[in-house]
Amino acid sequence: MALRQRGIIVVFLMVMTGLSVVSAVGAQQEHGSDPSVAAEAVASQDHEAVGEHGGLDLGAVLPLWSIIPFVGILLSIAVFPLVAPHFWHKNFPKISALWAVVFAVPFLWAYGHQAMYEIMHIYVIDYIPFIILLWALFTVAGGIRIKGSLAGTPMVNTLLLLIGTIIASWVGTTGAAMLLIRPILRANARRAHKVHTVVFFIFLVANIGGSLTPLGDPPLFLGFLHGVPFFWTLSLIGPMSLVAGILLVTYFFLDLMYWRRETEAGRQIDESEGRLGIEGLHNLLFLGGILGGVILSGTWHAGEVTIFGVHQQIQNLVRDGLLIVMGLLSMWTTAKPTREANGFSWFPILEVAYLFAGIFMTIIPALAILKAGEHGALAGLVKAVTEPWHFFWVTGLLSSFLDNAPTYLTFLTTAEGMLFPGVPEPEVIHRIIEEHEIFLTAISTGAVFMGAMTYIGNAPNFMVKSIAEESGVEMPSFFGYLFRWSILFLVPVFVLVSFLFY
Amino acid sequence: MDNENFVHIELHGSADEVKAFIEGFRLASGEQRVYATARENIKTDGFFGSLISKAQGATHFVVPSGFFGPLAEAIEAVTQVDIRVESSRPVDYGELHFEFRCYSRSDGVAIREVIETELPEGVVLEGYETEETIDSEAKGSEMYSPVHEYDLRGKGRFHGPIEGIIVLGRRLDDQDFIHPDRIHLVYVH
Repeated sequence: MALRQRGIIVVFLMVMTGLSVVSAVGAQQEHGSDPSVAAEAVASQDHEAVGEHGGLDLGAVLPLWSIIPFVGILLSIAVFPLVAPHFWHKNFPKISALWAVVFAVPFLWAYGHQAMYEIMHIYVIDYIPFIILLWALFTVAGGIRIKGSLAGTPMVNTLLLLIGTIIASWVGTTGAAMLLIRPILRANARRAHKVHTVVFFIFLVANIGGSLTPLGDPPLFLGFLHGVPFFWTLSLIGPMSLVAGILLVTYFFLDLMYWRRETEAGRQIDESEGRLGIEGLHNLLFLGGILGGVILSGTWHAGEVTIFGVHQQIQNLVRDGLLIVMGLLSMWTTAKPTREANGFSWFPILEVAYLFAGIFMTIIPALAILKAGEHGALAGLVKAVTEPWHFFWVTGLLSSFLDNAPTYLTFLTTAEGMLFPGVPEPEVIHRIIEEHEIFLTAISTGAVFMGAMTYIGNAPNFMVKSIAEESGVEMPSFFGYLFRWSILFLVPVFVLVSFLFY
Repeated sequence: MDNENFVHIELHGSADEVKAFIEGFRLASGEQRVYATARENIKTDGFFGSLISKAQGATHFVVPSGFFGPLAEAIEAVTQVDIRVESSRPVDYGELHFEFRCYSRSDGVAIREVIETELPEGVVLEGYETEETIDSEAKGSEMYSPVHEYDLRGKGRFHGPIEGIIVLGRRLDDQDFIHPDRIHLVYVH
């Protein structure tokens, strides 16, 4: 499997490299290297179609159908695991690559150098740092293990959910879920009623808890990469505390009700796991290193270098290097049995790497069109989504059924296009925070909170479901989760948030 | 477990009064085997039939035929409450369809034990099919392409004396991953 996946990566990169060479040659033949030709091309368009780099404003000229591959890959991620899980498991790298190529070939053919620049830009600025961060957090968090026996009482369960909610912002929702799901399942192994515990775990630890830092949830890290200050996300503590508080109190009383229905055997502690303890605690140092690296990249300005024609900040490269070192140190210093007991494997991070390679390629036209605001092919959407509460609900509802990271980026770009059309990042982000902060709050909370609405809203949801099922918990179906749990417990709280904050 | 004949009875009247009357009569007679169809998940009608039946104040029980005779006489004699026997049909046997699907070997063993061993007297397992899939490539956790390394699914049907089927229905209800249908009554022609 690993060899085959590596082969697919190599083929994918070869195809992309080949395409870029072909497109570069093609563009030279078509337009020559004379800048005046490009200027002529620009002049032939509307004045509104001039982009920030002096070339075409792609967002103003790209047709709506150019986002079909983006919609296609998001729908593939949403639908295939439900309707053809084994096919998807074996073929998702190919399907991701297919959507990427379906977009890249005509894009490079039509826009040559500029298309190549856009592709390189999104991979250098977004994709590579995104994957490095997730890899580092995943590696470090996967080296920490809580061992021993815990009593699955309502108080202990609620405390575990509270701890998970708090640490999710610092180790990432995937890391927190990986760290705590097995201890909480072990604590409740003898109980007859445990589905609600796993469901609230998904709500709180795998989603809502990740609201407070860019390390917490992938959408927020994408925001950070686009210029949202590291500590700005702490301002989400109001809506986050309200939602988490209501859900934790609700969970406690729900669990208390079920606890009272348990038999004596169901209330017994499984002593076979021995004393409570934590293995791999030294990984917290590496976690601190990751945190420091990310904060450093947001505060230090060390100049920039050009990579494949894309300007990248040196402090970002230092950050990525530091993150890689932290991950490698964790790998070298953590005992293998600790990772094995955590059920650690590289597969989840490979999934993210493959799928987001396709997502970041295909999201290019969507972001460009949305950035063009009322001049782009999605002007209707830009005009329709105008109020903070619109952004909260539209970002949230789409995040429920599509992955929340690209959804966040899509609506952040929509807000940029609507509020400050033509203003480049990161200036536009700073202006939004200064003058229209509520929009960023609405988009951030919508994407993070409502990732909990379905199994496909956020990456760790499926992982938690799968681990729970293999541990003997009969989890609800996709629609069972949605109708019996999310709509019942989450939507009323989100309505309250909407009224109070937006 | 006696192989005694059972009767499906439909009583009309206030549901609370009917239940209280039956419970009182059961305690007085010492009979343990009185089964409320709603509680035991026994199918008495289709969806709309059930709604109509409930709207008409019907409550259904499955009781031993030896219990039904004296019960019917007592209901005839009672004057303080408005209860009547709307219908009674002798039950020949019961059927219970089920399906299951689980994702760990230990759950698979537990499910098979529940289904395949210690069946109540006279109960037969029919049409039993299982399909075990082991996908070694699916070992470990996944985030975007979740499949299980071990996947056991199965279905079948229990057939036999209604009392045994009711016992099995309770047993299956207590087990995660097994989804029993409602118990189907087959009447004596």
